[in-house]
Amino acid sequence: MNEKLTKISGTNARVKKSLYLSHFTPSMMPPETLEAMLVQREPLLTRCLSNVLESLRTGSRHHTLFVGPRGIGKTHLISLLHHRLSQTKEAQSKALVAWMREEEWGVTSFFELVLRILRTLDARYPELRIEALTATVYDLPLQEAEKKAESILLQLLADKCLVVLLENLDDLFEQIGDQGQKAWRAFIQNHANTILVCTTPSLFAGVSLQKSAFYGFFDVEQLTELSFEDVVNLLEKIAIEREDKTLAIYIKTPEGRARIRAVHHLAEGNPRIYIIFAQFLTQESLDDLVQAFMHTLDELTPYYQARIKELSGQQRKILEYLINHAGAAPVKQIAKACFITQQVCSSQLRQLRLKRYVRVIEQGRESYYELCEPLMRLCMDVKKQRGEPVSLLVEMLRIWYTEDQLTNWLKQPKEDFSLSISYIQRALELQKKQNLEPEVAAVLKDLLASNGAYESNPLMLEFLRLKTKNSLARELQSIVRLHFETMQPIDSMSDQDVAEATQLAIKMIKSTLQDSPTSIAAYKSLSIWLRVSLRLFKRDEHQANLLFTAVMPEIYRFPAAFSVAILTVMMAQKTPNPDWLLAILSAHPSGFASKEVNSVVARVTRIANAFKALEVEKDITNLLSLPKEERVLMEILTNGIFQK
Amino acid sequence: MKPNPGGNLSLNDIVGRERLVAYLQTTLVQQSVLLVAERRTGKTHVLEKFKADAPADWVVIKRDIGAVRNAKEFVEYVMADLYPHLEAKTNFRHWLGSMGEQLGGAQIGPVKLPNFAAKNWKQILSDAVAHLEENKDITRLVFLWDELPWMLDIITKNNPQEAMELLDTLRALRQHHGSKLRMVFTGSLGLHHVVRSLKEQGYNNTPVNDMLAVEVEPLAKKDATDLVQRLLTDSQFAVTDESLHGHLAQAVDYIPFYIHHVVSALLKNPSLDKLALDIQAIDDVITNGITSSDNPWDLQHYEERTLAYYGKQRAHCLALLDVVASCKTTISLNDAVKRAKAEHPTIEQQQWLELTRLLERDHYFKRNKEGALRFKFNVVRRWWLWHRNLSIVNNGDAV
Repeated sequence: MNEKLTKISGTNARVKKSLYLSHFTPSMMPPETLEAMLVQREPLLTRCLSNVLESLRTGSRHHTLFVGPRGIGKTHLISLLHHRLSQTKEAQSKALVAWMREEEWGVTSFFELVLRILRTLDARYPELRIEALTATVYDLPLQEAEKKAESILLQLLADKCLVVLLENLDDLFEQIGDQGQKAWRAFIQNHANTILVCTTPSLFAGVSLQKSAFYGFFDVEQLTELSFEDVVNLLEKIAIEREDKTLAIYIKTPEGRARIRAVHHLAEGNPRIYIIFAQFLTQESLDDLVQAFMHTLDELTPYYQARIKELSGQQRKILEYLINHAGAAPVKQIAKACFITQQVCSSQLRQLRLKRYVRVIEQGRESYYELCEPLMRLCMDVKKQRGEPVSLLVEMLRIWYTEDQLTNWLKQPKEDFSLSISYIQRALELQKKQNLEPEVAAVLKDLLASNGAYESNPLMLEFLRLKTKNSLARELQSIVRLHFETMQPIDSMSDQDVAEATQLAIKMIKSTLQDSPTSIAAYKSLSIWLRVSLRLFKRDEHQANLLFTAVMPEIYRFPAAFSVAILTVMMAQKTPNPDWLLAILSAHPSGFASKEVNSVVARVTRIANAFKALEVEKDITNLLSLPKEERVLMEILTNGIFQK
Repeated sequence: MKPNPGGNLSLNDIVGRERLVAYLQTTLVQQSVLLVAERRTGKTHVLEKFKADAPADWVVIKRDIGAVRNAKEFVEYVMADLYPHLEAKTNFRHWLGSMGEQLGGAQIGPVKLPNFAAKNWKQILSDAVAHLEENKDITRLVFLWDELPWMLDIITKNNPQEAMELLDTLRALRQHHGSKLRMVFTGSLGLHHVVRSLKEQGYNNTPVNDMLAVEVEPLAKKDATDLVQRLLTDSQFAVTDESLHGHLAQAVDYIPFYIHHVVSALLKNPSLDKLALDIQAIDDVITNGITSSDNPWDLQHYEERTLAYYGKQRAHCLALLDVVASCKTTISLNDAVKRAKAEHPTIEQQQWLELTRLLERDHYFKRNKEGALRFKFNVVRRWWLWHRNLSIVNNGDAV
């Protein structure tokens, strides 16, 4: 990494090829660059192009609407679609393509839209002499001019199709109103020679309500956020495109991946942020980077401010809370913070969800809400900071560079360095303050988000391989290693390592119970440790007993979790035998003979017997005799384990 | 064939409408037609197919008139559409020349019309249609006017009197030119809602009582199943269980729009194994269509529109809908009313009967031969149960 920093910040830090990456108008980038930077969306793009081409070849007409928040890559897609489409013989011989660029609207009626289409076609096909044809339109009374403009468009098209590539359909619909939408729809239906490919940040009434003219008219393609692997892929592609081999190699290393993962948590899968972030990797002047970043946020801020102004007071309050909260929050918490009842809060959140300001994440029975667009938070963050460094940028610096690198950077004499110095200083402060390294924290956060599916999670291995100076992280690694030791040992632990890890695990169980805000969090953790302890009996009975003793008094507060944990271990052995559990319980020095434990044991025995009958004797009578909840439990377990 | 939810299908891809098109043709020999259906049932595709299959001596003119703002503009479109069929007639050209100045007239597509400003639109329309009587080559002239209720709605907002006159003029034309002229009205908005609004403003006529209402029903079971099979096969899905096709078709009430939707959604799912498509994957898509917060099929509309459709009777209407949705199979009219009455005891039996009739007309209910009620669309019923948090009852008990 030191070598990398020298490369970036020193005189040798020249990348071999400069690359223009536009934050807002990918349409200005060369198509080859756009092609090279396409990640995740290839199937979607292929599908859309194929639909357009089918529309040109046959009498069918496909209309596509790309839906995704700002910065998700809609313009990139449209630009590439335009590029690929233009290369095809079908488009050259059977279509006129009107690529209406983003946010160029001053259009308030269908008539003006037709004029705008004609103007766009004129720029693309000067040989059609459209300007001369349309000159007379401006002398006519409005109603006649409308029909004349349509007639000119039809005359130009003759037997060709009009392919309209259009950004921000929601804005256009709002401006042309109900009448304009109906007129456009009528034109499309009457002449059957229009193919639409449009984008919108979110679905809106004009296309999603049955009473709208364009209801159900489009094939909707939702653009999803980039996954971690997509981001690695994207950054690697940018590095390759810049012919920066060192960076391309670094991105693939565990350290590079870990750092990207950390950044991924900040950017929340929004490609526009990665495009900006990509400049960290080769930027020679940090000042340029900071300014570019600030400029991006500046451009977006009025848009988000206008969106927030559209909301009611209560909705704004909720949104402000979520902006400050920097994560998902349950209704109860939001309601409390905003001094409103849960009912009112739920109703307002529903409205915000319909308007695509927030999205919901179901976690068990609880619904968590978070902002739909991470860029909204960043823009509001800039406003809030009032001259202070923007936290996202600071975080990114902190993650990407080591303390030494940042310190060295500060020592380099440079002119006009004031802006970036404040960022570097802040990043250094944070590094010193934070105990846990950001890349380690990022992996752990992803592990937590995997909703309890830790045991077979490849992230566990990634976590184990991270190098960390942090003592807490090392303790965590030791515990995770114990986890693996009881399943598929990677590098076998010594007895002493097992004993130390067990002690740490017991310490962790206690702190988890103290810190867990909800019972759900507590029982998830406990059931994992119960499984580990049960499996550990094979490896080290003494340590297993210690762990088991720490878990048992707590876990039987949650009989269902207790049963599931035991059954999971049993099922994994493929020979469910409750005697094994009874033997452990009866042999245990503490003598777990409480009523709760007995009831769990009885339940486990019933399910195990039913399972045995089903598997061995193919007899479902026992299964049907189980209470409904136990049948469900068994169904979950068999699906979860045996189908793997 | 690719799934194309909401787009325009090529004629070859409009399947299962042959019987309806043939029926329309037979009917139109006798009288004009009011083509009715819920949105996205395929009305426009039926019109396309009808136009393509019409006998050679019929002139069929199809136009979406949903954005027309006044009667004069409507007549301009009619004239532009008639022009290619009449221009060879010398007397028509003379007549057209006498209508007004060429300068200042609208140009609609390739047709340059005279300036009608000084003339009465009713007279022009009547005269233009009258010229058809003289054309012996034309056996029948059929106007397929899509989205006519939207046009009337727009005109009503600005000039209700003109909307009334237009409806009456069109009826009079049908009466006077009964041997040749036929009209098909259709649209996303029910015409009866526009007429009701006009009646509230003093309109007393029954402008479409000479037209036969023909409903565009969902596809027949076999046609819908074949469509599913064709779409899945052409999209390279491997299906081992043949019953899957019928299952999908039935689950979305044999409506082609939803069938296209489901197959399209399956294609977009990157984690789906195309070589092992199963019923669960299909059910997941349909359940998502019904319960997703994205509300892709806008089933909320079926509840929301009750406010506009039934006004003060909305609460009674919702009670009746809840009762019928909750029934496992069908429910007799008497039982449905009895249960709804438990919530609204003061409502007369006659009002319940009328409400039931309206709900049937607005595509909520379907009645079998014995008169028992059920929801017309299973998809709507599933959404209704889910949205209103209802339990299914059987013989009065929750099950």
